[in-house]
Amino acid sequence: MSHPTEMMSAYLDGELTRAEASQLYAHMGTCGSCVAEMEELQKVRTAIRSLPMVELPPGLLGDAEPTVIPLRRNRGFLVGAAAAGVALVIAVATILTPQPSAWSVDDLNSRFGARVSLDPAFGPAKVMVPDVRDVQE
Amino acid sequence: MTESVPLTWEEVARVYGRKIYNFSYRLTGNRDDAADLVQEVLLRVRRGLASYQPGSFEGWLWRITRNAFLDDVRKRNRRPVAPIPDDVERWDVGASPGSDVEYSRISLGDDIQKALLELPIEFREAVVLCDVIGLSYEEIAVAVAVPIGTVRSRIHRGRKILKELLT
Repeated sequence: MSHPTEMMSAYLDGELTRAEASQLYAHMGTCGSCVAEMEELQKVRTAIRSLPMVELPPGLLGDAEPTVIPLRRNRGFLVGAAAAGVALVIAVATILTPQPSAWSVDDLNSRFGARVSLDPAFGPAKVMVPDVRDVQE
Repeated sequence: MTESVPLTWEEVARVYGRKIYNFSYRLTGNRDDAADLVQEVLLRVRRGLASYQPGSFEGWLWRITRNAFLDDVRKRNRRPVAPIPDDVERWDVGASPGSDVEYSRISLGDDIQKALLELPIEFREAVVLCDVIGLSYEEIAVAVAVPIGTVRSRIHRGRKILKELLT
């Protein structure tokens, strides 16, 4: 029996005609060795295709590269400009915001009360609310 | 294939440079040789684009690439071109080793690369163009200037030899 082995790789690559594929199917239905052969070929094919694509060495494309490099520089400039703008806004806001001369209990309560109340062990009742009667006595 | 053709060699370099480098690297197994080949190919593309006739651009580009590779092999005479055996059975590796064969070694890229370099060049370029670059048999036939049936045969025989080398 002749084995249509050359069709196997073409089948794996999707390069068989319909008639050839039918012929291959018919043969493999009765030939265990060809089924095993197909499995081995598929493993080899998969292994080759799993080879990683290696990166180009820097500068290899020569004159073709300068049109790409300025884009990176422009992107870096935009990021730097945006960061400088944010820093300027923060600085101006800090200068213009009035600072309290001293912290009061109410200041602390209003600023940290909600956060403290999340933890029962440090609730605002223990920390922020003094017992007025004890103080008066 | 009738895809749009890049207008300049710079565009060819940007779009195909990495693929050309990988093709060259898998054929030569050497990064420096591959880099030299990329530059030679781009030079030939630069010269040839003006006279390019619309058709299979991939086939045209890869024909330039494999010709540059073959010219380099002949010039350096590093690795004589192995003739394709007339007798297919010479490369037959016997019965299939069975489904229980361990292919763990195949997962190692170095082993695959070494095995590729063991192939006759005609088989190697067909396998690399198909499995690494992803060309169709028709595109490979244009690139290598052989009938599609020959492409089919070379790819299959190349894989069979690789199977033997990797098991």
